[in-house]
Formats: sequence, C-alpha cells, structure tokens
Amino acid sequence: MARNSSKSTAGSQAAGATRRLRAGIGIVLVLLLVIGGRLFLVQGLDFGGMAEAAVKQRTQVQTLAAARGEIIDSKGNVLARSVIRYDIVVDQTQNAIGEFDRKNAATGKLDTISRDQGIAELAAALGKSDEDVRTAVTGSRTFNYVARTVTPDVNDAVTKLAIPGIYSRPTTQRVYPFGAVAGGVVGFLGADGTPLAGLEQTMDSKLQGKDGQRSFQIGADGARIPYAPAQETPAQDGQSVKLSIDSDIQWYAQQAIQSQVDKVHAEWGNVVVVEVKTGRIIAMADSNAPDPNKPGATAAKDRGVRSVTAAYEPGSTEKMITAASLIQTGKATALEHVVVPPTYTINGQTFTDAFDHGYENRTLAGIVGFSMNTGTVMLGSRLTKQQRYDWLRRFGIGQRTGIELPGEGSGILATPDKWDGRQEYTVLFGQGVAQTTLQTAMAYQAIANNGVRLKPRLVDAYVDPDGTEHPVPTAPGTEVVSPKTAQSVKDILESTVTDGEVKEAKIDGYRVGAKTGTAESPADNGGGFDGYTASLVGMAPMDNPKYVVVAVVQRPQGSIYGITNGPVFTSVMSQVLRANNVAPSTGKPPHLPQFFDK
Amino acid sequence: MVTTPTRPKATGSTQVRTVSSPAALARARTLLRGFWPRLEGNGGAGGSSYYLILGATLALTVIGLMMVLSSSSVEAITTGESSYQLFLRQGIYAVVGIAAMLFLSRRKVRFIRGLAWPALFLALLLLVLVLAIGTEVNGNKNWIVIGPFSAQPSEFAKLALALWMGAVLYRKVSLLRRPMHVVVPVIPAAVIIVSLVALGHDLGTSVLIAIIVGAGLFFAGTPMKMFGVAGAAGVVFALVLAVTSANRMGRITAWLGHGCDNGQDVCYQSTNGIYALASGGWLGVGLGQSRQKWNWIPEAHNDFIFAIIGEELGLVGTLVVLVLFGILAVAIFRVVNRHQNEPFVRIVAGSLMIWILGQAVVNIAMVTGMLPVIGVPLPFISYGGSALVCNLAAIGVILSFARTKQESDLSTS
Repeated sequence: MARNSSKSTAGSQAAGATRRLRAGIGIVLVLLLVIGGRLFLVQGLDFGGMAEAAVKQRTQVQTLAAARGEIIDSKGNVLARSVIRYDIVVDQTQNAIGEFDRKNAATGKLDTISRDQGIAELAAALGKSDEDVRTAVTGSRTFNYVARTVTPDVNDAVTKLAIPGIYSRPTTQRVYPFGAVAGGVVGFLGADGTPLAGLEQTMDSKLQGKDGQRSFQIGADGARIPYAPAQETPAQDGQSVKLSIDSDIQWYAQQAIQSQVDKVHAEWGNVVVVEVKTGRIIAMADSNAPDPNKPGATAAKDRGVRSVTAAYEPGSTEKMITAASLIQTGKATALEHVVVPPTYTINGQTFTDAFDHGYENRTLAGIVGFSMNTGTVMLGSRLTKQQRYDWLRRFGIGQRTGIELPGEGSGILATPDKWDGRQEYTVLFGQGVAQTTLQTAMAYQAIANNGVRLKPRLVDAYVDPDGTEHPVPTAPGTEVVSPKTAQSVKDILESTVTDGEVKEAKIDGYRVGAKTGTAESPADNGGGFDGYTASLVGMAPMDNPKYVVVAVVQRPQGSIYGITNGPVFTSVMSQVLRANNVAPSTGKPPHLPQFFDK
Repeated sequence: MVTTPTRPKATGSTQVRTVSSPAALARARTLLRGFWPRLEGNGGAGGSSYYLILGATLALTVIGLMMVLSSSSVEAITTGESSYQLFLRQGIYAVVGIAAMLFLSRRKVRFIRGLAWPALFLALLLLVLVLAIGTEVNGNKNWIVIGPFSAQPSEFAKLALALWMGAVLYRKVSLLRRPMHVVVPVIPAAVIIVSLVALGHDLGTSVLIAIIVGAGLFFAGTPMKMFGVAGAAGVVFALVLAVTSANRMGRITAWLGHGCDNGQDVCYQSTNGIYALASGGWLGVGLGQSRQKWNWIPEAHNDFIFAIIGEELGLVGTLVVLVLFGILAVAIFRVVNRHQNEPFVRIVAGSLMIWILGQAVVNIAMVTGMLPVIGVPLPFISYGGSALVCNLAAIGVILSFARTKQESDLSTS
C-alpha cells in the first residue's frame, strides 16, 4: 500500500497496485473455487437427496381404476354392471376469483364471465340450486364435491363452462338393470363402493379386479412433461360372474311368491328352484325383494336372501327324510303295513294327526301321503335317536350348504343327547328342528338325483374381461341313499300327489312328486308358538326329475287349513319346465296304495 | 515482478514444523512462487489476453442464448407466446451488444475516457426517469418501457459509473490518502446512483453498484482504513434496505432456513433451483430436457438460468461456465496488470472485472443456496437485453485496453 507520502516513488505505487490487483483476482478466483466446490456437493454428490425430492415433487401418481366385473344371469342378461359417471369437484381456492375469461366457441373471442354467472351456469348444468352450488364452491378447501356421479352428458356440459377450479373426476356407478329381480341375491354396494350384500359381497375378490397405476412427471402448472420417465401398470379389470339364476324364472317366482304373500297376509315367503342334476339354483325368490339400485327403500330385514338366512321349523316335509331313512336302513318299505290308531302314545308322549280318524290300515306311502304324525312316529321310532340325528345330518340338515351368499344359516339341529322326551319324536315330522328353505330344497334334490346330494351353487362361471369363461365344475356329491331307496321315496312322493292329499301340486302333462309341510313357528320372543309356516316342496318330472321347487310362506294370517302353496308351486314349476323345454312325462305313475287290505 | 515480502517468512516457519517431506514442500514452494507470474502471463503476448477475453465472452454469450431458448420455451408456450420469442429477442440484443463491443474495442483509451462524463449524466437522467415513469417487475422498479422495448438503466449505470470513476480518480491517484479527495466527487455520485437504484427497490443491483464503487476506489489505491468505514456504512445501509422490505426479509429468512415450512413461496424458487442442479448430476439430463423448467422455477430463463444449465448439462456444464468466467477474470487481470501505471485503465478494467465476476459469483451463489435470493442476473447468460448489451460493451472497453497496450507502452517509454 502506498503509505509513504513520496509522490515520486512510482515503484512503490506500482507495488501497491500490484498487490491490490492480486488481492482482487485472488478473491475472485477463491470465490469461483468455493462455488465450484459447492456445485460439486450439490450436483456431484447430492447429499440431501435433492434430485430424488425433485422427482417426488414432479411425480404425479394416478390410480387406474379397474372396472368391476358384471353379474350376469345364465342367459347372459346383465344383473349388475358398472357405468362411467363423473364426480364434479372443486378447488375452492382457485374458484375464488371475481371473474375469468372464457373462449366463446361461436365468436372465437374471450368472454369475461363473473363468478356469479359461472355459479349460475354451473347450477343450471347440474340441475341444482344456485345456493347449493355456491356453498359447495366457496371456502378455502382445495377439494370438495359439487355433485357426484353425474352422467357423461352433464359432465360435458360442466366441462364446457370452463369455470376455474371446477374439475371432474371419472368414477363408476353400479347399476342393476333388472332392479329387484334377484336383487337380494345380487346384493349391492355402499356409496363408497364397499360391497355390502349378496354376491357383490361374496364375489368381491373376483369382481373387483386390480387397480393399475400411472405415474408421470408434471410441470408446476400441471402439464405433463413429455420426455420425463413415466410408468404405467395397467388395471386388471375384474371378472364377471355368470350365475345359474335365470332372471325370467326368477322374476316369475318373485311375482308368484309376492302375490301369495300378499294374498295370505304372510310375514314373508320364498321360492327356491334347484336343478336336480347339478345343484344349480335357477331361482331364489323372496317376497319384498330389494332393488339394489336403491337398497335404502327396502327394510333392512328384507335386504338379504331369506332362503339361506332364515331357518324355521319345516314340519311335515321332513317326513320324506324319515321315510327315506327307514327304507334305506331296511326298517320299513314303502308299502310297510301299519295299523294307525287315532292317537299314538310312546314314552308318555301322545301324538295326533291334523285330521280325525279311527284305526286305519296304512302303508308307509299312505302315512306320508296323508301326512300322519302318528304313523310317522310309530315307524320312525324303529330308528335309534342317533340314527334319526345321523339321517337328518346326511340330508344336510343342520349344516350350511356353502352357497355363495353372505349370512347363510346352518339351521338348528341339536344333538340327540340334548333332545327332550318329545323332541326325539317330533324331529321325525319336522318340529324341534329348524332349517332354511335351501336346505329343504337340497334334501329333496338328493332324492330326485337318485340319492346323491349335491352342493347348491349360484355361480356357473367366471368370465375374464376378454370373454374367456372359466366354468365352475359341479362338486362331486355325496350319496345319501341308494338309487333304489331314492326311487321308493320318489314313488311315495308321486303317490302323495296322485293318491294322497297334495293333489294341488298336480301339473298337466308332467308327473309330479311333492310334500307339504305345516309347522308351528316359534315366537320370536321365545315363548311358545305364534303362527305357522306353510311349505310345499316338489319335483318334476318324476320319470326323470329335473327340478325341485320349494315354496314357503311364513306366518300367514287366517286359518292355516285354508292355505295352500299349491298354485305357487305349480305355476313356478310349470314355468320352469316349459322354459327349459322339458318333455312331458312318459310312463305310468306308481300309484302306491295308501291303505292295505287285511 | 515484485515478490510479496511475507512469503519467505511463511514458508520458513512451515519448514521448521514439518520435516517429513522437504522435497514436496520445496515443490509446493516453487509452484507457489510460480503462481503469480504464470497467472499474470509473460507480459509479451498481449494478443493472447485479447483472444481469451473475446473467446470466453462469446462462448458465454452463446451458452446464454442456447440456455435462454431452452429455459424459456416451455414457460413461453404456457403463457401463449411463441417458444422462440425470448430467444429471438435475446439474439437481437446479443448482435447489438457484440456490435457495441467491437466498436468500443476499436476505440482508443482517450475516446473511452471522453465517454465517462456524458455516460454518467445519461445514467443519472435515465435513473431519474425510471423513478418517474418506470415499470415495476417483481417488486423492483427498474425498467423503462417504451413501446415494445424495455430497458434497465441500472445496468447502464454500472458501466457508466466504472468509466466515470476511472476518469475522475486517475487524476487523483496521488491525492487519495486525503479523505476529501476520495469523498468528493466519487462518493456523492455513487451515493446518488445507489440511492436511485435502491429507491426502485432493487437491493441486488444497489449492492452490486456499491461493490463496483468499492472496487474502483480499491484499485485506485484508496487507503484501507477508509474501506473499513465505508464497509461498515455499506453494511448498515444494506441492513436498513433489507429490514424495510417484507419481501427482502422473507428472502433472507428463507435463506437462513426459517419460514420454509409456512411461506412456501419464499424458498420455492431457491429450493427448485437446487432441485434442478441436483437433478443434473454429473452429466445432466440432456440439452433441452430440463424438467424443472416446466414452470417449477420462476424466472428460469433469468436469474435462475444457471440452475437450468446445471440440470441439462450437469456438473460438467456448470464447471465449464465457471471456468469460462475464471478465464475471463484471469485474462482481464493480465490486461490490467500490464497497465499498472495507467490508473484509468487499472481502475476501469478492475471495477468492470469485479462487476462481471462479482455479479456472476453472487448469482451462482444465490442459485446454489449460498446467498439469499436477490435479483441479480448471470452476466452474458441470463435473459435481459440491457444487461447483455452493457456486459458486452464493458468487455469492449476492456478489449480496447488490451489492444492499446503496445501503443501505451510506446507512449510511456
């Protein structure tokens, strides 16, 4: 530094200048080096993981929703499908502007639209009130629903309004084109898409598919950066579920049982139609069936499928099981001779019949044909208690069938050691034991199918999105009784129609076997009985049974003796036979004698 | 060359302490001793500095044009403009600037000295005009818009101030020990200019102008103790400026690591700049392929263009830019070094170098998060016509000094 005052010492001045120049360039170079070091840290080493943070900031992940599979009936009618709908949503912070510009398609110029006008237009497009829309779009939330599941038309209209902050998000809505037809069986979804009932619930894992994902990078304004890496995992759409249900017959059965329930003022009624050789459920009809499009309109207790959830005491239809076990164990034949007294007392328990009679010379067929409790107990007590229990179990009583519906009941079949003195006999004619309509149907299916009981099923096949069908094979059945025994029981059932008291089950052109049941139904409060359950179960055609139909009404009002499910049974069975082109019966009915001569 | 007197002492003491590798030490000492002569050049080939300056300047300008195109294209499309609009404008300014540079480089030192006073008055006039009819951009009022053209007089003021200081101080070199001669007239003029810029709320430019003034006084040979006083005053002045603006305080607290969580906007730019640099890694994502330029970085083509360079060209690209600035600094230093006895050249070229390099350092330090975000563009590279033209004109002045070396030597000998 030029400290001395001598002006003439140019050398010293030059030295000072040099030092300062060197200091200047030195500082500059050192700063450049420091910056270079910093760049090395930031770019070369990236200790803070900033590159990753940047990618994270720019990456947008979209869920590619898998399409939910359809539920279709055996004829291909769609019972449930998902349709594209749109949720109209708002970013309230972006909507909070006084006015905005919108290109006028007609003039090609920008129009200035006030927020109020925008709200009015949006309300009109959505068919809502201005106030509702204004409430929905005003505030500081970045996400709020303005309208949910609007149709593509409405969505188009809303999109054209180009209102800031208003977006639409594709979503799906589950629709059920057949409404209440098989409504309970098909089930429904909650508002958030959670399956809540029926096959929607049990088949969810097949139907829902697997959501895909798309990730890409965006600019701060949301535009996709074309050259940035992107990944896409396509969605795997759900499989469709093809049912054994025939929606025509289902509809018919629902109509039939509904009018029956209305006519007799019953609490409820149901009809189950089973295909004998396969265990396929052709119809499973309930009164007051829910419409899955608006399940809330149906009382909660009616939203399920009572054929599988409601167990009740079946009554005389159970006499078929008693007869089958007696014949199979060799303790009686169809034409076993029994002298039936007016009342029968055993172990202090007295049994009577629904009609008054003196001493009668009855065959087993006659006892079943006229539904005599006395004769049934007389013959049935030839079986040990354990045998009675085992045979009921063999016919599936007290066990869930494994049908693909939620909430299936197993019924109530207490073990013999828990039976009281009367119950050990009443189980022979279907009191003191409870079962579902489906269990009744499957017990009769076993007889109709030459003694082989099958697992009932609603699902015929799973269908891939590309149309490939994966049929569900029929599970091997269990032989309950021999074909010979089954034939004897079939003869008894047919004779019950031809010669016994179930003449209302007759169908022109077809040979029918059937049995009625009338049981006292235990009161819901547990105190005694407060009504009746009337049922009729039958099969046709008896030369080669193809279908079993059960019709049940619970707690009909009025005299139980005037009530018959015959018309329901015959109309549904006729419809099933006709619709499936079943040839009219051949051969002669067995006409087993109901009485014997001394 | 004169060697600094402290060096032998320092090396001597190190020698005593470390006895392990005298050979390595000797080598280091030789290297050190050779450092300054090597940096200063052999003094004979004046042409090499000329071409180094010209080459580095043109390289930086071309890199700038390229990066302005790359970094502005996406944002331009977003706002409905042509993606080439800013690039073409910058190209025109580059042509104008290079023309100005070549014109000035062909002028003699006397001519340039003659420009000093008119330039200062013009700068003052323009700065006053800015305050009167200027346009505010991002909180800074330092643009004059006339029709389709906009100019930033503060850029021109930097150049004018450097020239004027040279013209005033070179006559006073021997008087600078007396405070009055330092203070009058340089300090009043500087204070007026800095104040005018500061009134336009441009803290970054104010600080830079203060640095240029300091550099001019420093290279003129002003006693160091006066810098102490001036430095303290400058710090106080900058603090006052910072504290009086919420915007500036926000930027500074953001840089210090506070307020990032709640006030996203404040550190948004800085964070995204670092994101871009880090994304570039060693070799970059490729020219034109920056992701951060997709509206993530505000002013990507302007103050934060270095971040886009880092993302697209990687560490290699940023170091090339850094090296080019280094070459420019060393080459200017060599020119100045040869004109040690000519205070005008020394003062003007010295302050111009500090201007350009200082601005580059501040800008890059800001982008890399070492300084708060203050609106200072990167010389030659950032978008901005006034800045580019003035930067190139400054280089023109220095080139003129480089060319006139021989004549000036002849005249003094």
